[in-house]
This record gives sequence, structure tokens and C-alpha cells, in this order.
Amino acid sequence: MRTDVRTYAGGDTTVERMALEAGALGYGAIVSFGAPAMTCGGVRVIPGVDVAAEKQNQALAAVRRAPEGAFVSVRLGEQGFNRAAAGFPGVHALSGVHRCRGNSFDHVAARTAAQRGVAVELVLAPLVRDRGGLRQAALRRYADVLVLQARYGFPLVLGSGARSCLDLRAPRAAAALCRLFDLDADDVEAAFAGVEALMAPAGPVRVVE
Amino acid sequence: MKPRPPTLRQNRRYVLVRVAPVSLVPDGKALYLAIAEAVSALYGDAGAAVIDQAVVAVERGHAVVRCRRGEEERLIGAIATVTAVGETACALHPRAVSGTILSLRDRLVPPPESAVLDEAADGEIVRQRRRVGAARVDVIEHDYKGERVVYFETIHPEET
Repeated sequence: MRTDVRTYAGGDTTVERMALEAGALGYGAIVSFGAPAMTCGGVRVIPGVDVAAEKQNQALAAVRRAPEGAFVSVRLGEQGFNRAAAGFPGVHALSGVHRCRGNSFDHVAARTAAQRGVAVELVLAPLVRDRGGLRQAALRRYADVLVLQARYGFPLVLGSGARSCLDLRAPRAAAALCRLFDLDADDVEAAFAGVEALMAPAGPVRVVE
Repeated sequence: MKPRPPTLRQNRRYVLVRVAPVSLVPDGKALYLAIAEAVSALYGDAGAAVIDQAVVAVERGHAVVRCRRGEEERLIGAIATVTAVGETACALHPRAVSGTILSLRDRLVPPPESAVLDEAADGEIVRQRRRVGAARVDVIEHDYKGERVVYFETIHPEET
């Protein structure tokens, strides 16, 4: 099931309409920041919690406050923060890698993310909306993330960053955009399908009865 | 001017794109300019010359864009970066790629007609709620600048 990992509630589109349009484009689920959990038109809406904090203890407290069943994403910042955030319990993904400075998401954060099964979000919005230097910077950062991903093997997830249903992009268009930074079609499909594994990670077998 | 023999002509590919919102019927020239700007911004002038894009047909809800064979994925990437045609916000979603326009027309599913649910006037601005298909409702604003979709919602149970 394909999941668009970053959409926002509260724009010019209702959550239900966003889910319908995502379903028409071929998605089975969306993560919506600011929306309650629901299912609309066969598309599951997963509530998202976006944690943006400057200090580690503030971020950790916000992660602990996240409701159960929510997709928790921590916004990346400085190098020390990123290394710590990759190891926070209860975090599903690290976002905003395109806004990071040069080497602030480094090999230590990448290794920690791989060990803890924390994904890195690649958002298409900077490639779609921005032009010139901003888009070039985003492409550079994403290409750098792929180098670390090839070495350490942390999961990737993909999102549109849509605030309106007009910002959603079809999986085929997303694959064409991802080719700009050498992410191939199979990896794009794996990134779209990666949210389910993040939400329900494999664990030891438990006897329930 | 005598046309080239078929073996010397460039091979083309045609991309069928769905235009969102449904109510928007873009002007062909404005759509071409939007796509050309997106291609140039993403791949530069040299890339745009290789892709050699052109808009060959525009209908309600759909458009057909032409490119050189082998460049269709790059064209789709550039089309994904189109966020507005002229002053109107829109999105272009790729539906199919083919070597002939005829086979794309076979795959073309016309979008549902819209029906006006209600209308409210606020000074010179008129807001219409239009039902599109079974569940979608677009709120369209009319003023002296023209019309544009300002809100996207779904049908409420009491309106069905």
C-alpha cells in the first residue's frame, strides 16, 4: 500500500477531500499532520505529529506526548540534535533534511537511524515549488542522503508536503522527480510502502493467550 | 516545403495528463508556456531542446503533451513541477504515455460534469459550490479577475 507521508490539514482542502484525491492518484493511505484518524473513500488517514524543537529535551517531551497510533516525525536541526533525535524512542521519521546545513545529518545520525529503524523523509515540495538555488540545495541534500542510505541502510519514506489537493503528486510523477537525485523506481515504491513497517515494526513473537 | 521521409523523422511520444481542478480548461498557449518554463527551470535550455516539448491538445480535464521518444520520463518530472497555468493554481497528473495520439484518446475518460449546489454573493464576489462527481465539491469564486477554485471539500450526508 502506497502512503504519502506528508500532507497537512488546514489548507484549502478538507482532510476527506485530500484522502479522496490521494486515492484517485493511487495511494492507499496518507499521513495528515493536524487531522484525526479516519478512513475516507478507502484511503486511510494516519494522524501525524510534527515535532519541531531546538533542544533535545523539548523534542523528547513532545515525542512522549504524541498520541498512540500517530506517525511521529522530528524536524532535523543542528548536528548534535540530529544525532540524538535519530535515537529517540517512539520516533518514526526524521524530516526537513533538505533544510539542514551541509553535514548536519551525518554518518553518526545515519547509523543510529538504521539501528533504530527510523526513516528519513524525502519531501517533494521543495522540488516542485522552489526554483533555482533552493531546489538545487534540496537535490544536493537528497543525493547526499542516498549516499548515507546506501552505506547504512536506514529506511526512506516519501511525501508530497501537500497543503492543498493540488500539491499531491501521482506516484509516477514522484518517481520521475526522484530520478533527479538518482533514486530509482523500485526504491521509490519501497519508500511509499515503508510507512506500514514503521508503524508496526517487527518484534519478537509474543504469546497472547 | 517537401516533408521528410518517415524514416528520417524524429520519433515522438505523447503524454496524457489530467488537469486538476476539473473545472479548469487551460488555454493551450498558457499551458505550453507553463510546461516550457518548468522544463527549462529543471533541465536548462539544453535539456529543453532535447525534450522538445509541445502541447498538442487541450480538452476539459485533460491535455496531451508531446516530446521526443526516450524523454517522456524527464518530461513527466518537469510536468510535476507545474503549479499554475497563468494565474490559476493547478496540477498536472500523468495518466498514460503512448506513441500515437489516437491510442491516448481511447484511454481518455472524460471528467464528470459539475452541478451547482448553492451560490452566495459577498459584494462583487460570488461563491458557488459545485458538485463534481459523486463526492467532490469545489467552491469556486467569481470576481472581476475571473473564476478560480478556492476550496476543496466533500459532499455532506444531508446534501446527497
